[in-house]
Amino acid sequence: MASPFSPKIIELRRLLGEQRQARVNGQDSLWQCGDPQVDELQIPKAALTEIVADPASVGGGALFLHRFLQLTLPRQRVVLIDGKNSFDPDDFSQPLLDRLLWLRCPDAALAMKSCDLILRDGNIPLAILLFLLNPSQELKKIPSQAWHRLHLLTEKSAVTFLVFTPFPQIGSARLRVTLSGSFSLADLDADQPVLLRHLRLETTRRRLSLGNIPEDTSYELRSASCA
Amino acid sequence: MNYAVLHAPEFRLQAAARHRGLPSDQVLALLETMGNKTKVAEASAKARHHGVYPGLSSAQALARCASLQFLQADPAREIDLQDLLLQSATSLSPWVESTAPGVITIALPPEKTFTESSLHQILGAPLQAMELNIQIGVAPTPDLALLAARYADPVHIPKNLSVFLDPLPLALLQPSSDLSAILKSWGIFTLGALLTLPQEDLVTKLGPEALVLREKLSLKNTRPLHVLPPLDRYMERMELEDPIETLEPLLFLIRRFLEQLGKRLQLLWLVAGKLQLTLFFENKTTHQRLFVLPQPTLEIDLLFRMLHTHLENFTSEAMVIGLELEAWATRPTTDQFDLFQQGFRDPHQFAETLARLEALLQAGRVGVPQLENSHRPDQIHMQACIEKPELSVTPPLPVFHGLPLLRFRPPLSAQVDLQKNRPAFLKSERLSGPLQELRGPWKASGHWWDKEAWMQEEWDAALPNGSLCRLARTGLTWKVEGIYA
Repeated sequence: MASPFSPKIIELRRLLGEQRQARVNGQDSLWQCGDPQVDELQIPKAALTEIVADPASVGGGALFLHRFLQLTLPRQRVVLIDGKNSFDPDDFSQPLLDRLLWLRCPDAALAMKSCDLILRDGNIPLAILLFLLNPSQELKKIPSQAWHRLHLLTEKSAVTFLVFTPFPQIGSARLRVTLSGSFSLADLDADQPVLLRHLRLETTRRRLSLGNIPEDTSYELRSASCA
Repeated sequence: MNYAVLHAPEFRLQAAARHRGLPSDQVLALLETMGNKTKVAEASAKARHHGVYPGLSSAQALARCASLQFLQADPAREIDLQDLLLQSATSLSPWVESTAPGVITIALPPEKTFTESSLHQILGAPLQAMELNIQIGVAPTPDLALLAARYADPVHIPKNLSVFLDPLPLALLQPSSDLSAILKSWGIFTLGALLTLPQEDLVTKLGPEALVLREKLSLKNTRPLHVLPPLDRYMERMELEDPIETLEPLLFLIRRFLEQLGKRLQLLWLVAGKLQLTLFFENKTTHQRLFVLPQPTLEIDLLFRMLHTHLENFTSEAMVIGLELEAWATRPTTDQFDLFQQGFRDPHQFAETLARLEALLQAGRVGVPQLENSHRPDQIHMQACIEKPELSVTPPLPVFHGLPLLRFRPPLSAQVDLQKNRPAFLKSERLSGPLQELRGPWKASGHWWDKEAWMQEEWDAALPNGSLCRLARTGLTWKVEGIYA
């Protein structure tokens, strides 16, 4: 027998149920995208998260970025601040790309200025900054105060801000995840879900208020592997 | 059915004064050259008060009023003003006719009743706010409505037509000089007197022209209007006598244009959906920019800020000699997001942020990526802004394969040594070393049928430190297209 409720009502019930459950579990301040591997990282909303993709993790950074975009673009708009104009949208379908605002910055300095504008605006709740191809000299010139400022802006405008860097450099990040994994030419033929299983996501720093832990408490994790 | 006539007295003078930003209630006169003589063609009410009348030479007019300002007729501005009147008239009814310069005839909807005060509120006051001198008359026929408009202050609806027509001079019907002379010799000086003459005898004695005059006063003399299609674009433009070099005076003019456009749209309960700014430069070049508003609005401050942000970051080699601001009108948005749609918190703030980002990063570097229908690598262009609200439908996710590439734009020049026609050693700005592993070549080509023909060969390569990169060869030139980072 057909349900007497319209699909939208059913969807609303599901959504409200999920939100209530998330609130009960204290997860409403975390970014949930439905993928266990990513959700386990407990990415905080309205905060700065640093994703460190060491050059040794060949292909890992872009793989995680694509996975993250695949998970979030069907649900909402995302702004990608591309620090070296290196993102390749060819892998995505046009309906997904229609939800992506892409800022093609020529260098890190302009990318930081763009971040400032985007975070101040606050209209798009998820911003991703991609610094994987920027030269390290360029990135080292960014003062820590600049990151701190962006961190404060994320809190003020409630934008979840992910920064992909080739080495750890953001002291004010609430969460730092280090990617590791080594891929070879043979992996270029494999499906991405298979490749993702070989990608290690390690939480190397967390300054997060969870449950009874007060907001100002900070501590670091060194061995909480999520993979 | 009743007709209303919107009449702009001294129409050409008003058009010229509006273009110069002068209120039409100043001491103004419009000059017109006839042969080798320049004469006053139209004079404002204040100028007439000083004794300046059409037909005077400019010297005679100045002798009567030293503070008189002369204006030159400008046919382009007259067309603009006529369009403005026509668009404004549609606030009363969709059936409007551009009868003559400065005269718009409106067939009023029969189901509505208009009073002098309601007409003043709907049409008269907004046009007066635009510093236009407008008179509105309402009567059962277009010709009688025009007569009523000529004697309106600013709106007139005659309660008793015969009482209204009785004292009006015969010259209002513009009879020929012969007919006028005969009627005067009969002692017929007013329209009321003309109406007392028996119609059949009038035709017999004076011919068909008299019948035409008489019918103009008849209540049965209605005609179908030449209704025009509605104009949904609203434009303000100005050719500058003194070129503009700096931003401030340009912004001042733009603000004025926006206020004018705002008043015009407000009159019709419309809002601006898009704005197009065109600047004309001294060196014959132009700069044109279309602003698509994320949410149609009529907030002048918001619109001004958007244009201001754009112009702040714009420089030109030559001075501005003219500008044009055009608005695409639309109805205020009535869309309501459904439960699962996510709109912007503040669409106008977002539009301004986009404009600032574009100014910071240059056009073409901000927007939504659009894939082109081509197999050529990296063929994308950017759509300037997000126009539509996000759809609630979730697009299907394709299956993704392999590692994603991060591209160098432009691709890095490389020197590649070959062994047995396969790359063996790479030397480039960022990556160098012997190539330990290779996949390829992947050959691709396209557009062989036209000038855009392309052909390239791609290789995926691994370096000793584990780095993976993509090489591309076009002819004898090697490039590093990107790396898997």
